[in-house]
Amino acid sequence: MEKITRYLKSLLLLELLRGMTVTGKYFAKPKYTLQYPEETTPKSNRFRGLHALRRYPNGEERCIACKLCEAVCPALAITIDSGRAPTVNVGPPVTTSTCSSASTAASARRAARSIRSWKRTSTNTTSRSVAKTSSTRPSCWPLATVTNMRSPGLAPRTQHIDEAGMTPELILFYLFAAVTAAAGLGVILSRNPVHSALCLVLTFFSVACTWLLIGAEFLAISLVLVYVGAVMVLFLFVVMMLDIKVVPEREGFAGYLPAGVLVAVVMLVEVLGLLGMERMQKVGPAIDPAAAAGFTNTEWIGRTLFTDYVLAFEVAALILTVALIAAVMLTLRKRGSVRIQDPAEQAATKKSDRLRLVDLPKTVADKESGA
Amino acid sequence: MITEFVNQIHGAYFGFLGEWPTLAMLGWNLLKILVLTVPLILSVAMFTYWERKVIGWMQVRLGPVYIGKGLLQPFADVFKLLFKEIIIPAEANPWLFRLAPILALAPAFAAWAVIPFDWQTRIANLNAGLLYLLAMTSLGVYGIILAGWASNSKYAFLGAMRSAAQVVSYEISMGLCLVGVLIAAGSLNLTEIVAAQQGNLGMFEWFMWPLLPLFVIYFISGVAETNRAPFDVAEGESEIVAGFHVEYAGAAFSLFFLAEYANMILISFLAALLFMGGWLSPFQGLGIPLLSADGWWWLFAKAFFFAFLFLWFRATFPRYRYDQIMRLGWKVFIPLCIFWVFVTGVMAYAGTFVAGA
Repeated sequence: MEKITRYLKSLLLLELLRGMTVTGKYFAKPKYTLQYPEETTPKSNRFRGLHALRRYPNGEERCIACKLCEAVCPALAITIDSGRAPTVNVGPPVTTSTCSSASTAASARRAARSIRSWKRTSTNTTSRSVAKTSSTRPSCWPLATVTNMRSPGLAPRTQHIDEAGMTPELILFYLFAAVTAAAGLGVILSRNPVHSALCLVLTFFSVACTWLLIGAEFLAISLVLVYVGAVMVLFLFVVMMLDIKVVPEREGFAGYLPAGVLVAVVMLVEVLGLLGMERMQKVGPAIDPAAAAGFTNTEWIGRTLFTDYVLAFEVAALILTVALIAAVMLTLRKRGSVRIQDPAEQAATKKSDRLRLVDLPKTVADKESGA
Repeated sequence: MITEFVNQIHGAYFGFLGEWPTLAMLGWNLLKILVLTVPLILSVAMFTYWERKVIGWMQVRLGPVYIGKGLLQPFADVFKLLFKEIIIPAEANPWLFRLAPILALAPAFAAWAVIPFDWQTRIANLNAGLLYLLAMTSLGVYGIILAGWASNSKYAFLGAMRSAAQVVSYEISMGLCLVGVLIAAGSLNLTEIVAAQQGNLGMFEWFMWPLLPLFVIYFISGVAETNRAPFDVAEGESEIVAGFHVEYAGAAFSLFFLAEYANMILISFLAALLFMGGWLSPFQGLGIPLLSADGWWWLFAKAFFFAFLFLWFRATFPRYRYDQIMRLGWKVFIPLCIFWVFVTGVMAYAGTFVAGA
């Protein structure tokens, strides 16, 4: 019960809010900072000015080395050495009234000038190194401009473009397709696994761009979100953690060749078969069902998934959840020796939990009598 | 009046370039992007000034006061950074090292394409706008990971690893919060989400009241997603020097800086749009003469408040330990989010969001 109330209380973020009120108060408080060289502190009443030797008009010192000032200085700041010029250590700035009253000949002049010797020096060192301004310019917003050009759900199918000639869509399609193919090649040809993973990211991204061109914006953005934004980040995470060895070129190429060729041939036959079937049945590009139903692409996908295909959708979700739990169970093991903190418990600790006041006998007699 | 003015420019522009419609469209879009990004970069500069000022005041200091009374300090910093040499470590991966700052910056700016400032003012009116935003914010992590890896430095690499794990974790809770919003609004389009928060009860029509837990979690996840204090273990200057950008200097470093602050402003705008009614007045529908008018100034005021919260957090809280960040994300935020998404579903079924809160 106590645990539950503690949990609910922690949800209110009371401690955090308390901390923020403290900083909030200081935010509004007046500041006492003194901009030193520009501003000076008000002088103390006890300030008597700086030590200085006084001279007669003809330049002769007035000091006769009577050492009275040395004797009376409470901060021991004055050392008079007769025969030489007296030294005054301006160490601790304690110049009390005793100094001036004791100063008969060599006295501290009441110079009410401030100790303002320090000037902010202006640095005028010019950097000799050639400042290479970056040649890197953000070449961004590829998606923004693309999505802008095409209102969703109304995109013409790319197959139709034969009649239309080289429309901007077609140019963009070829561009993205070329990038996809090149990046795909990069995935398998690159010798550094990190480069391969990055090429895969680029592949996903340009495929998403081609999907945007045909108006499938939901699928395209989901692809970017799920594969580029999450899956590939984890991929990179793992690949970078590994001790990367650059794979020697074409290792075991001959060994894998037959299997690879077989897979490629099967895939080619499948694709050609599909295209051939379509050609035979004269199935042209269907009308966009989303546009026909008067929905946006996203809305239409949602409705279809949750009406016609709800069983398949839920089963897929269930399988994924089971897989997730299984993965957690496989890696979760309890080890006895591990010490684990419970932050909630730590935060809820009171003084009485940690501190115990013990009555100790005060004297030996008390101790003996107590014993 | 402004609309008319823009329409006039638009008409004149297309009259001039009418023979090449594609080219004209491209140029017009570029113009729109410029109109958005230049003020954005300027506001990032002023935001850094405001940050130093606010944190200074909270620590009973004055903050920057010298260059132009402190107001020109960010520009002085920018020019200093731009004129510095870009140093590329000898053992670094040269291409990826150069690519990483761009990859960090591009999504941070691209996400702004779908942010509406008014009923009409925006670059693109994307139907899947919310999804697009989620995708863009999740792309920013590539810049950080690549910077860390390409630098070939232990500190940078540690920072990148921390950041990657953190961003991926908090993206989940952030996505779940957005699920709550889209259930409530019934749309992924940002303008429609704001429109769904209209009503006669002033600020009580906003989604922040029925979705209060999601609102709080969204903003905290946003702080974690942008790697800001108290979740800034990716930089962690007391442990790993500067984290992922430790090897960067000059303009390349300033790009990371720009991306981070642009992301912060983006999260502030999103929190205002999704949960606090965007440009709707807090007194909407109450008929108070001046205060009830909706307009971009409300959106900017709300976003400013959230941006201020970022700085307030930074001045207040000590840095989380790494395992505590993970615990908070996975064991606290995600279960809470799932629970409240369920509650939101029930509320939507009961018709809470039709009439108002």
